[in-house]
Amino acid sequence: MGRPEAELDGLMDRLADGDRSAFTPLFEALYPRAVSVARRRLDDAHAEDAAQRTMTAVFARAVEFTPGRPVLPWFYAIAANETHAIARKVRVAASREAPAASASLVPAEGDPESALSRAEIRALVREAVAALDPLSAAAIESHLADDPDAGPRSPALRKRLSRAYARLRSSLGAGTIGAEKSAVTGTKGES
Amino acid sequence: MTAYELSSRIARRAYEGARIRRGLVRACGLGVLLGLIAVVAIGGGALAWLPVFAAVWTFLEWRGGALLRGGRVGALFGALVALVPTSLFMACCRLGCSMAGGVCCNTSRACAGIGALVGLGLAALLARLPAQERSRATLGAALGVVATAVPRCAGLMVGEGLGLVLGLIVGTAAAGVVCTVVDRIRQPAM
Repeated sequence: MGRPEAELDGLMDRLADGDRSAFTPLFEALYPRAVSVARRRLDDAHAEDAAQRTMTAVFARAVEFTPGRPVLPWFYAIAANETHAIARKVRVAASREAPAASASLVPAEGDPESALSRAEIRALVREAVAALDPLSAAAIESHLADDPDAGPRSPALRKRLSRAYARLRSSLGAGTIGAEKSAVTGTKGES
Repeated sequence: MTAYELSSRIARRAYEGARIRRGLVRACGLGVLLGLIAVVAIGGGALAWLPVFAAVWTFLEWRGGALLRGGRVGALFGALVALVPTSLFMACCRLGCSMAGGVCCNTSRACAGIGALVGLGLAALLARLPAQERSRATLGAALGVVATAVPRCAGLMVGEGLGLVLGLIVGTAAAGVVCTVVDRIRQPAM
């Protein structure tokens, strides 16, 4: 970074004119600046990437550089753009990974926390069933213990079951009955 | 390879690529302009030479510097040559002369003479450039003048075209050498 600004201007003028001997000293002077700009916003690995993109953009646009103009403001504008672009990419990538990471925080089926909440719900439903009239309780217990392949039930039994679930629903709260029933049966139940 | 070296290589490639792209775009633009002049002044056959101009001009733009500055001056003179009427190049082919007449219709020398004159005029302009870039500018001018004058060859025969091109190159080179020698003589002894 030791080169004076006027010298950099001269080097860029020469490079814009086609003098290749100006390339190496100009690159040596600008690369550390590009890395420094990028490190203010990015981690080391991404900063290297941003610096590389900055230098590529600077030298690709060197042919458009107007001789006589100061090189550093032009260079820093490009460096800021490239760093911003990389930072945005990193942010987008991080936000894509975030839902997956938060999904892993939700307890899975076999989690102790999940097992505990299922046991609590089961106890709650048993209490509510026991609090029902004997006919409704018997209908629900027989339904929960039923073999799903047992065949069609009679219309009277279906009606009794429906009324029993309606009473259970009103005693537990309408929104939770499906979850509670599935917690009791271990499957996703009908509400 | 370190990140620095990799970046340096990629940046260098980007720089060269950008110069070539810009050279191609400018060569196409100037080629269209030259094509229009050539069609009006020489005829449709002149268009066949335009790829030569495009290739030479792309090269000059890519290299840039003194080569390109000389090439620009050369291109101006080359365009003038393209505008010279064909009758001037074939001045000796008047009524009564025949192709089989040998000396009478051998216009290659006339073409070479015109080329040399243009080349000398061109070199007089190049003499104004700084001495250190004169050799490269002379080379660029020779390339530029040949690239833009070459459609003229469509209206000439092979020998005449060759005479014109060689005349241009020799004229430019000779004047360039003279300028270089004069510069060295003028240079104060260290």
